[in-house]
Amino acid sequence: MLSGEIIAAWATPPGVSALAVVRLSGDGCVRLAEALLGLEDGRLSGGMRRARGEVRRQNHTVDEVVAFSWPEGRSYTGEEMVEITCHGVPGRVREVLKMTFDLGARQAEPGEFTRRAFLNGRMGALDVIALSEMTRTGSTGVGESKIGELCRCLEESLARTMELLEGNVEFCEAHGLRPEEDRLRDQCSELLRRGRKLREAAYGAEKPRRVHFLGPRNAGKSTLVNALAGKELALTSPEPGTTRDGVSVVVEMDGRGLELRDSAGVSGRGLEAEAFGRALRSVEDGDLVVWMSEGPEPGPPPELQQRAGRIVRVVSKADLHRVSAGGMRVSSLTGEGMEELRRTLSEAGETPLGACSDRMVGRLETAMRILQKGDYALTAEILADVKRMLSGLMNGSVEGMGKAVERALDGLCVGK
Amino acid sequence: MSPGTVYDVLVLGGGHAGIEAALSAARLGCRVALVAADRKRIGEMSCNPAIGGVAKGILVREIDALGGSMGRGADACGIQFRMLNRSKGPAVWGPRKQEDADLYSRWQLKNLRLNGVEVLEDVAERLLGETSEVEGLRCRRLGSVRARAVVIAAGTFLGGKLFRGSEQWTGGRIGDVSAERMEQDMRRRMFHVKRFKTGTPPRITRRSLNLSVLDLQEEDGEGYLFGHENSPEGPGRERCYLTRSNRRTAEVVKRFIDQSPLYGGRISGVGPRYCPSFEDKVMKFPDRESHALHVEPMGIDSRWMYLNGLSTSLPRRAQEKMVRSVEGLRGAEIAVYGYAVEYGYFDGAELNRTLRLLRTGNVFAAGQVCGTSGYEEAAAMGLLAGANAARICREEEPVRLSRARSYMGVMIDDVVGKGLTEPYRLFSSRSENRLHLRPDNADRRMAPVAERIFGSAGEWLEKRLESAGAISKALRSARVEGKSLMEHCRRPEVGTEEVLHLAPGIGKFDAELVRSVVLDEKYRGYIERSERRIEQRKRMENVALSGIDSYRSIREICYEARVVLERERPATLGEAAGLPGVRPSDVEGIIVHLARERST
Repeated sequence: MLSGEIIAAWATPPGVSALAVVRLSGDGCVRLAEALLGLEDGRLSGGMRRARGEVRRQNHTVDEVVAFSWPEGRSYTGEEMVEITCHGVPGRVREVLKMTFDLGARQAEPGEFTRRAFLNGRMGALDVIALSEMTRTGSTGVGESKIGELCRCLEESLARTMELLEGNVEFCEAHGLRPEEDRLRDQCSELLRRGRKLREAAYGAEKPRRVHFLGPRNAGKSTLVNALAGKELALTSPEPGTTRDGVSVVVEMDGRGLELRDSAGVSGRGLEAEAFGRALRSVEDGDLVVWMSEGPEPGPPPELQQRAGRIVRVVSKADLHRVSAGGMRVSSLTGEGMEELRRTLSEAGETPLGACSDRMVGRLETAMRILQKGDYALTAEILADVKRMLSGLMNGSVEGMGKAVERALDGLCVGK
Repeated sequence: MSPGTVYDVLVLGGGHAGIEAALSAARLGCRVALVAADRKRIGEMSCNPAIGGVAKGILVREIDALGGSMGRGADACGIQFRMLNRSKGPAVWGPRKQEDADLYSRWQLKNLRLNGVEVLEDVAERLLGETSEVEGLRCRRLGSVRARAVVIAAGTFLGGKLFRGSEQWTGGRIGDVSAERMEQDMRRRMFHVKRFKTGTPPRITRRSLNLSVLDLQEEDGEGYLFGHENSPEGPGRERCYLTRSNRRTAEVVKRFIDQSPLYGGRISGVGPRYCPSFEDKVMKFPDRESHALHVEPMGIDSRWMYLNGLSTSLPRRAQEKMVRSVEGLRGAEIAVYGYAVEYGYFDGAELNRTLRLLRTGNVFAAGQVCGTSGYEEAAAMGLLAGANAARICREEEPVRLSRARSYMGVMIDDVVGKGLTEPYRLFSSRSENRLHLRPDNADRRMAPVAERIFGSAGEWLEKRLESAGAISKALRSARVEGKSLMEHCRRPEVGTEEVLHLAPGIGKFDAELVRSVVLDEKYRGYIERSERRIEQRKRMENVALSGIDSYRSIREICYEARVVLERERPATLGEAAGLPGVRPSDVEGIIVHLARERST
């Protein structure tokens, strides 16, 4: 039985659904899932097992999930496999998927589960029928969009750089040709430039992730939004209930667009209550909510918990209170906790297309460093990695990146 | 040869492939004879007097690890050493030695004798017996020479034809006869013999050159050995020179191009793209004003110099004009004029990965006669062919090599089974596992192969593995910044040199071996991934597509891919995946189709 490195993908159709499945395959993926769900070692190993668990990042719960595991030889792919059933909120599914990457899995290449299943002789008649339907609906990858154009630019530049690199390795010295270190460096810089351009567009292409600031009156929401935006957007005062209706601003954090939405506080009467209700209703699936309060109480209302993609709890006015309970301690005044909050928000703003291009840029930067250290073979290896990622991005498939990109591109106009 | 003798292994050809084939068979205890037209020309460097280079240098080390003679011979007869790609990373270092060509021939002949290989001076005319069960070779002088297995390592001699301007004669190389009858016999037996061409530059008399105006190419690094034995290093040192052709050289080519056998259409075989004739360089790159030419001695105090880069088959008069147009070569006298060779080679489909000719039970082939180019490529194939011929005699299973573990494996995998479109030369980029296939770990990589072929890796290799194990242990137990030194050296910013000074006691080990172990660790993640990819690809290659009559009806494949697949008709799923225009989702479509067929 052939077993490959651990691959992961969002395996169910994109969009909002009651449940969604993140699929893992490869030697060691059961242990990875145990770690992801915070289960004790061995809970999912040794046979077909099922376990409930919580996927947590730092100290907040990303999702409550159920995992099913299969041992080698008895799964769809024939390898060790895990399927994690999450709640079908896209933001949460993405987060779960991203965390499997952090634990050592990599995004499955297009069609990789199927390929492994087939090669291990594990495909049954029903699998074929299901797959046939899915493949026929087809997928277009990045297609004729602006992103597609940038991908092709990067691909072309990548091919040229790799060619030049190989030429330098194989021929230059043996044939008494002058080494082309400068040209190679220039081409690598160009490559990096194109990668960054793609990343920029990738983040720009997707609607900025919306972040709602909700919580009791006078928790300091507007002050925090102003501090994050770096300018006065909302009128603030020590008097509770100054903000009446949603004010929003789009900011950039690490190249990712985030729309920060300030809102009126909870509990009030009349106009205030109505404004809060409106703010609550405007929270859509996958949106991020920053729930602010001065202490551990009150917590976010249950209807919000159902709807939001993720809730980050923040205890405000850290400069005034010494208690630390109920969430991240932040003070807009002294700046305490602001860095951490920024980081959390910027991470939350990451999208699959963005994340993939981000990873490519990261690899390209590494390649550049390695080239400067004079290891051409390793540079070539890393560029080949980027090429594979790019082709995963550009070619649609049943599972994985292809679909994810398509989804991200839904809102894109052709030739933007 | 005494009458009635039946050899175990009979090797046809005394070139670099033939030598290694004979030696590895002898090492397996076989009675071996080698047929060559002229014993003095055994191991001759018919083209450039150098061994090694990028990727090729690694092959030499792999050959040495398997007990071959090329590395030790190159060390004993080397006259200048250079490490190509020194500044481009240890995985692509290309050790290369300039050789005393005559001395090398003598060294190899003597080494054959020392190892009990009988040299028969003769020209083979045909195989003896049925194709399926060959009984030996029929030779011109000795008549029937019987053997239980045969290795054909005929180089360019199989129906070899030589060309220079309008001159044309038969021969395997200049001054040698051609195995014309042998080629006819192979064709009569319905072997698929195709033709390639290659060429060689003129040799110049040393005293006719003005070396003082040429750029000197100094030796780079000392004491590098291809071989594992501490053989005395070479007969002395020599210098190489660099000059360049110019516009006048190109003009001569253009003026005489209609007299070129290549451009006149008299040679039909395809030549090596990566080692083109000078005519090709000029005609294909008309804008390039000049091309580099290396002036290399053929040996210590040799009378002749080799003009690397000026391979040509133009008429003598044109060659004189070309050579004399070059700076430093104004008064050059040509000792041997350049010429082209066209020769027969076996199509890759005739061979399997043990290098046996498929339709025979006991005939193997190696080297240029399989479509490769280069001494190192030939030697590596020869070694395996000889070993497998011997294993057949010993009624043992022949050995195959993995492309994940050696350049030998990469090359044989590339050459065998598919049709080549040009003479095959090894490049480092042909390997998907380049970070692993380094010169520094060739010995350790090949140890399991040596064990498989010869029953044991040999004492020196085992010692080497032992020291490598001890080094790993030392690196694991030494602590740096709270981690083991082994983990520490995985960090990209930690250089291999640094590691040598970080742990007490590490200095007592061979520094080269320490570096090698550290590199293994540094690249480990990449290497593991590459190996998995190779495995996956191999699995895809094993899925035959011959059952698919038409791609038109497979609705899961997009239109563009259908057209490509209909036209190209790939034999395997792996081939299909490699076609331009076939996307991963189309491969998936093919899989769906295959699985559907299988389940109904």
